[in-house]
Amino acid sequence: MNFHYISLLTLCYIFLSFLSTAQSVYTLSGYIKDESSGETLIGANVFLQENQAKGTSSNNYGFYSIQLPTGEHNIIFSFIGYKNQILKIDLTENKKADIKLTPEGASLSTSITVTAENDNANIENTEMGVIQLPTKEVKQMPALLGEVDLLKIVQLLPGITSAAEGNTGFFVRGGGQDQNLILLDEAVVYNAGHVLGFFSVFNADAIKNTTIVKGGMPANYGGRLSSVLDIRMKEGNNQNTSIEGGIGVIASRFTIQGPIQKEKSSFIISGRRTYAYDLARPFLKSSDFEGTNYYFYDLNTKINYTLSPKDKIYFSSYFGKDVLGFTSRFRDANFGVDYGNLTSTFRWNHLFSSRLFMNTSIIYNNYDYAFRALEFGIDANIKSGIEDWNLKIDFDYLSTPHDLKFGLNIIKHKLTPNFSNVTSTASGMTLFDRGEPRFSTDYALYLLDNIKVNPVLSLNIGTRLSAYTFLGPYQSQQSEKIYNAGESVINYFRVEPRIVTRWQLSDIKSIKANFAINNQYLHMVSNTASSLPLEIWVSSTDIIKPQSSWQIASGYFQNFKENNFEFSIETYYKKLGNQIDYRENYVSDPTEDVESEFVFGQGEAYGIEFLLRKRKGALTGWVGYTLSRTKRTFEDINQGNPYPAFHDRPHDFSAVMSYVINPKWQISSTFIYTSGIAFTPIESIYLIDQSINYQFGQRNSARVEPYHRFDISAILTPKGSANNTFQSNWIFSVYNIYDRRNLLFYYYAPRQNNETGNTSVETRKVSFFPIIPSITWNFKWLSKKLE
Amino acid sequence: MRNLYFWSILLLLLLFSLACEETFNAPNVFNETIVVEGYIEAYTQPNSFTNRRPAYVLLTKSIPLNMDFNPKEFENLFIHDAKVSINNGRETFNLTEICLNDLSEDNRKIIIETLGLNESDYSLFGINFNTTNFCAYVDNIRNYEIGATYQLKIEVNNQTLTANTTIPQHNPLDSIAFRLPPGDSAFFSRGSLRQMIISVADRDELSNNYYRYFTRQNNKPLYKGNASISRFRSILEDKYFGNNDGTIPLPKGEPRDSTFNTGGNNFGNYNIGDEYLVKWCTIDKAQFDYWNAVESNVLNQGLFSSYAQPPSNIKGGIGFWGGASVSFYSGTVPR
Repeated sequence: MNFHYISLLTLCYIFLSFLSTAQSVYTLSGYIKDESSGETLIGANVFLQENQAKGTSSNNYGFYSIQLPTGEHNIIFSFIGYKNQILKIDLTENKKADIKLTPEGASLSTSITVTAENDNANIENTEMGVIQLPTKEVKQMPALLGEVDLLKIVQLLPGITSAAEGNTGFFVRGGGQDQNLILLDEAVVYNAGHVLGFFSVFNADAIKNTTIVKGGMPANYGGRLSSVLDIRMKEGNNQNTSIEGGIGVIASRFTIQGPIQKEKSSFIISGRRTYAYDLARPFLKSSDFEGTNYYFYDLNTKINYTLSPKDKIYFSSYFGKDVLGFTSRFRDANFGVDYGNLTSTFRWNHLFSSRLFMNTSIIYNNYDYAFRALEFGIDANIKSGIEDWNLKIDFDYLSTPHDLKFGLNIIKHKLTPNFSNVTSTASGMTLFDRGEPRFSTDYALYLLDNIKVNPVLSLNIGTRLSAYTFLGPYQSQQSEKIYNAGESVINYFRVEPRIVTRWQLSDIKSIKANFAINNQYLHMVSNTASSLPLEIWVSSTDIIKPQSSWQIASGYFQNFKENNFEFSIETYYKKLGNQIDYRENYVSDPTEDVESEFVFGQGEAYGIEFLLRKRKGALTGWVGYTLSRTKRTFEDINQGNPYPAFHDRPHDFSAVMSYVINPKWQISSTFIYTSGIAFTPIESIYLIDQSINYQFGQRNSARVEPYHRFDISAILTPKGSANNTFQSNWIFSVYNIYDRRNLLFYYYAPRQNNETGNTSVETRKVSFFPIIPSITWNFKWLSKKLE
Repeated sequence: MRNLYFWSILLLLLLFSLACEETFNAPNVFNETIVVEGYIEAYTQPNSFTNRRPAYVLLTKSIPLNMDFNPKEFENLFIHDAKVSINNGRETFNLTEICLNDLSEDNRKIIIETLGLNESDYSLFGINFNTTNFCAYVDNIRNYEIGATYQLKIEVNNQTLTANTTIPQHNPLDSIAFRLPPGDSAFFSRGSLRQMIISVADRDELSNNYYRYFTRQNNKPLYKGNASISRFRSILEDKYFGNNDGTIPLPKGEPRDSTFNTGGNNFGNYNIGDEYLVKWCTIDKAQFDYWNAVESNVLNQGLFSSYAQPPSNIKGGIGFWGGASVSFYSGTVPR
């Protein structure tokens, strides 16, 4: 397939279609906001009452622009969880109108969603595999130890599976964990897990909106093969000061937000810290765990300022750390782990005209991991990390029926894989000190057009041109050539056409199909099932080629019962190239360069996903089922034979429900059932060196028992709380209510039977999360009473 | 640097103290394989005769995962009547199968001592070498040469297995010293303990040396090492000595069932006045990689575990045929 040719055709098509749509129309544009907080709303719908097919939606910054012929129009603005607003307007010139939508449920959590009778954007738009998760919905769901975690809710969607029990790592449509682009206010988050992956780094109090793109990635996203998780932080209430927080079993949260200058500028500061170990410390005295310390914390901050009606700036940052330490009471042994992310985003929104919107972002992010161990006079320090400087300029040109996006992105990467320094306290000598940073630059240009060709056919067609330069200093392991600092070692250039077509069968039915090519230049190669911070990110080099994928998908979408329900079936086939794994006899050694330990192969994934979602009324939620297969083929693994990927889960079922009983009580539940993970069984055991050793069979040729779990939660909002300046609620949740012992990991252990004296090798299954009840108290104080 | 995994699991187990563990029925996909464990050593010191081992090969078979080990089953592992030979490029000589049960009591003791067998290494299987049979194919006649390549050939049950190994140039120890083990005296009494510190002779001229070591304390058996710098493995490599005259601690070997936690203060340390013996082997990269994988699999268990397939050099079977150049160091632990 000549993708360059396809891309050229794409560009010609977009250009020609613009020439053919020059008509005299006027533009209505502005921002759509939450009335109570002034927060902009992402993805709010704007459409004509008399012709509902004619519409648009607000972009990632809440901006909308719709072109309409001269005359009177009734324009409906709608967004899930908000009351509709109808704007009657006589359009005789370009006009601006900022719209403030009123939330349906004003309390901390309760929301009875009643949206527009024609809320069928899911049928009309050209998005496939795209799901919005408002934070309000996420907060209603049962949570492990009461810690609301949007990554765990994401894992309940069809086509997405979790890395392990209780873990925030996830796999999308057969892709690896590193193939998910996780963005927080456009900054890449390289490790989204706290407590070695059991909790995500995203504090729900600071999050406004989450969008997951699991297929048909639009051309404005790139750098990953499988999915985008685009998380946007709140901007800060620009109407009233508010304080909110929560006290939970293992952690507490506190958020303050408010206007700096009303309607013009606002801020938000949100923090979270765990204290489980602090509370447990008195009980650890004189135990083997005395000397242990562990905590994590997050801090989200953001300010924004409206410079003029056309200019707005934002500065947001996230800083989070996990700190783990242990000092032995008995030995010369101590160790510590310290890892975390820092992201900072500066954004400038500028309106060139009512049709042309620009966002410029300068983003810095740094993920650092440090491990120190001192034992037997050996002092070992290991560090790894990745640091990016990112410039991103995005334009939205909204000219009905076109919605054109174009932009560029340049990222300078500095990777520090496996820095190790080991000294002997015997001699004071440095035994080894190795590790050189790796430098590279990522470039991308993209153009995409979301065009309504006619009332039936819409296209989202675009191309991303990506390039990657790996830079010195570097010594090639292939040619042994030495490259100086800044010298180009290898350049990669890739063309990534993306297209989604929508064929609307009626107001409530449509068929969509998409084709997308993606490339990935940074890789995290995992030797385990978990998002362990030791997993290091490596650059594409002359040896490590960029990962690539192409995916085709098609789907049928239908709404019914006055758009109360949405139903979809999506099928996909994905081919993955240049997949990376460790060689079969790889033994982890933080002091070695991992590049020479990799082997390369191909992947394949296909599946069918069903989703039935109820979006409105007292009862909301979804039921999803996925039937899929995910395989890998490596010449150097499994004798070159295809084998199921670790995350191959043929069956994946989930049901998520939330029901508002009355203004005081709301209940929620989640149920999940998935096939067990694939694993490599032991073919036989044998003795070598007086130890029992294992001979492994075909890679991932066996499967552990299925995973299933049922969680419930109840939210109690005390009477009158919802309308007071001080609001509070209690969340009672029970994780794993029927105490299913799901496997977290297994291991083999020789055991001696005391009665017979016989020794056998037992396979032991370890489960971490039995039935776990928890209680969380949330509160919110507003400086002004809600209307 | 025991490793991060171990500590992580401890901490997570503490955090989630309700975690539970039970037996998991793994599928049975048994496939019997011939297992070779063969050693051929060349000695650099003329006085090393008392500690030398002959070239020998253990020939066993693998068994199903769910099978019990006991002394009887242990005896059944051995494959008998194989034709085992070694070719050194000039001549081929056959190894003789020797089984303890066929020997007189005196000879039995001699063979047990010669092969360095000790029951504590087999304690898990309830082995008593006074009563349990043990078989090996042995050549107790020749001395072997550094730099020579030895081809092993095994013919049994219509199968032929082969392997090659070269005995590498030896890089001896340069120094052995002892010091008070580091640590906080408030936590444990260190006064009578000593930690062995070593350096190797040649770190520049011979590049990429790989080692395996064993130690003996007083009249205890010779145990394989637990070098903390190589994450409690018996293997070491030149990189641990850096590019200067670096020394490293060399913890003494411990019985198989002893761990950092259960071994107490003595784990890895000597007492003042102990008699010590260090068996220092230079091995090649292939053998290093093999023991690295084998020992890593034993240590690496748990949440973040991953298993490495040991890179066997046996064609037609699994296991390893490994050559080593060996030197011994002995003395008394000073005050």
